[in-house]
Amino acid sequence: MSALSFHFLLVLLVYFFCIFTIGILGLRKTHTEDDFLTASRTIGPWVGGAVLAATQISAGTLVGTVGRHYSTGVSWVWIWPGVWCGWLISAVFVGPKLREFGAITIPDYLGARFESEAVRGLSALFIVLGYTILLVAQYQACGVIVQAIFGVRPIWAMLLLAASTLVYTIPGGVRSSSYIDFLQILIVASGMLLAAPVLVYHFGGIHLAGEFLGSLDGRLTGWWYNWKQLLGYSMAFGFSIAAAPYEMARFYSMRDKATVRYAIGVCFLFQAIIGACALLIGLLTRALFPQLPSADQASSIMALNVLPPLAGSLFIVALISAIMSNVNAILLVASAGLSHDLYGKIVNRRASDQRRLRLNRLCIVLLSLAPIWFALRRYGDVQSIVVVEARFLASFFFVPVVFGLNWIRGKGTAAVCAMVGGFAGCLFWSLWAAARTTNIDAVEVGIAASATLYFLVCALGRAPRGEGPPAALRAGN
Amino acid sequence: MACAKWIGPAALLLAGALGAKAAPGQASARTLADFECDVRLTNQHRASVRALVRIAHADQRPAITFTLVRYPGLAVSGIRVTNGQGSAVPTTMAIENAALLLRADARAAGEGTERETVLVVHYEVNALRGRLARIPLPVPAARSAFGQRPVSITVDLPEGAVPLGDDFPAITWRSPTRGYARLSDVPSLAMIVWRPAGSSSLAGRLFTPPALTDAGMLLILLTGTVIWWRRRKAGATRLKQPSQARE
Repeated sequence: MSALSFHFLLVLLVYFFCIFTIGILGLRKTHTEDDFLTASRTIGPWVGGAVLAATQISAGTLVGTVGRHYSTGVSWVWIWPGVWCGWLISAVFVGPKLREFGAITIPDYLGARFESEAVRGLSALFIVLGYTILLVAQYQACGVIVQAIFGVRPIWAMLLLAASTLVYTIPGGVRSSSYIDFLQILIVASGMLLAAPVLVYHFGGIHLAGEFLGSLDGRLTGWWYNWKQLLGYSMAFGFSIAAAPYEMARFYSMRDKATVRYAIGVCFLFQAIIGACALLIGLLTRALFPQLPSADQASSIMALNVLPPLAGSLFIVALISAIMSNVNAILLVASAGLSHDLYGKIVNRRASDQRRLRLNRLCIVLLSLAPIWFALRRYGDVQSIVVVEARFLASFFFVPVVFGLNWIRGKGTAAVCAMVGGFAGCLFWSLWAAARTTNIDAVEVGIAASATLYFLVCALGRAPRGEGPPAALRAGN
Repeated sequence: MACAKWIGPAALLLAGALGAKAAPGQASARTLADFECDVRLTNQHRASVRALVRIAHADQRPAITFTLVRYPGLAVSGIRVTNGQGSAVPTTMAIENAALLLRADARAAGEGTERETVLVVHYEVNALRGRLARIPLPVPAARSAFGQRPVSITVDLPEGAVPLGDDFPAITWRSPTRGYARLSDVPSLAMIVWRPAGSSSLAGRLFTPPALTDAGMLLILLTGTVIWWRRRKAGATRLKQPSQARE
């Protein structure tokens, strides 16, 4: 058995023992749907911050962003200001107010705020569809990693990913996943912090690596993308972060709105560390291995061939754990959309709490298997799939969520028009621009369409009577 | 709705098509079928490299470009490219910043099938100052097939040498002076750290960068967990402001 195989198995066994133990401990404290979906609102700022970071830092970052830096160089780093603007918007306009509102899921909030079951149903449906796309990216990344390292066929890696995530998602829900996310973000941050200097040491210096990359392709150390393209990508990520259901749902598990703000600050810290390391790792892996068949392999090849066995094993476990935490977050939100919002609030309002909880767990199993078929076909690289999902998510949710929380006008019709118009605008531009050269990103068109329709329908509708916010906005006070 | 079941697959297909369009191009008409590299270190300042490269291609034998890293204080000399039978292949050299580019005209290789080219790259590497640690390898402009491991690197050290275990890529030492690595892709360099027998200390063999990296990672993990656990127990993670009542 090689050194890496032995270390990897040892680290993997210890890691799985930890997460399964946390899952079982979470099961003992999970008795109701509220416990399952919000951890009874007991999560503190540091675990909360780690949860937000771990939920967003997924295969899209560790495989996709590293891979994008590998293939396009430095300029991709400029998407991070967009991400952080999204978190700022969330900290000021979304997170604390959403937490104060006191719902269980995002469709819950939207349905109550806009007093419309159509809004609830539409948002729940889109969450299921949109997050299935994101799951495809996670499964594909897992397949790439395991095949690159062990030569195992991707289907087995994907099934193992689904099974291991289900083992701790189904028993403990949000409570277990929060503490597991904290452990995972520690592993990810430490793995990346140590990988960067090791890569620099092996190549022989950052300055030399920069010159060598410039020799391979001048755009790697210059501008691969122009500012309009970077703005489009930044906006896609930023808007989707500000209104991402799987992030917003985590706010409901935190103690209060002050905890939410503090947690977002903690999340910033983790992201800054990881973003800087992803840049260095991507660039230096390109200098060390200039001809990888796929940029998505950069992370796993680096862990396999550059890091020492124990650090490499921990990094590979970090990669897999980041994917698992993202899959876990997506499954919780998507299954809640089906069981709590579509079934419990629309199809069968008299369903008991236990019935909804059982259905939630069943939906988790089904939703975990569906994306595997698409992931095996590898329609695009991981980062591209994530970008597409971010565009549609932002176009669909940003306007109704942010303006719904901060402006008293706007009813169900406005929200429905904004959602459908945003999705349609993003879709139309994606298809129309696919065969043309344009510097306008689909998310810009989607957000513009969504906002235009929202304000137009509000303007055409009746102004609210009296003063103060609608009853739904006062619910959490 | 009857058509609802098709919404998901249609959306995913669309996303995939859009995503495929957005991905920077990675396609290549050439595939690296085999890369066998022998690195012989004659002393602490000098090494010779011989790399046999087999490339499969769809078109007629193309020109193959090899890229070598140019390290300061390192001289690469005696560069020649031959076919598998030892006949010289016309080669041009160009220097760009920190890279040395060798362009071999494989149409003159005259060996193998029309869909496969075999080239052998030879050169010597001399460290002008200090020890020779990093040896540039000739990276061909061809990618290996996904999931394959066609790259093999053999390292020979001088008699009496002791490898210190700080290698890149990770070398398996079958004997004290002969090591071997099998990879999926060609690295741009091989880093071999070794000392003549009797000249390395116990501390030098124990406190290697890999060992320090492993220790550092464990330290960060344990420290973070312990600090969080102790602060949690002391209530320090709870914010100073009075929290609202649980709903």
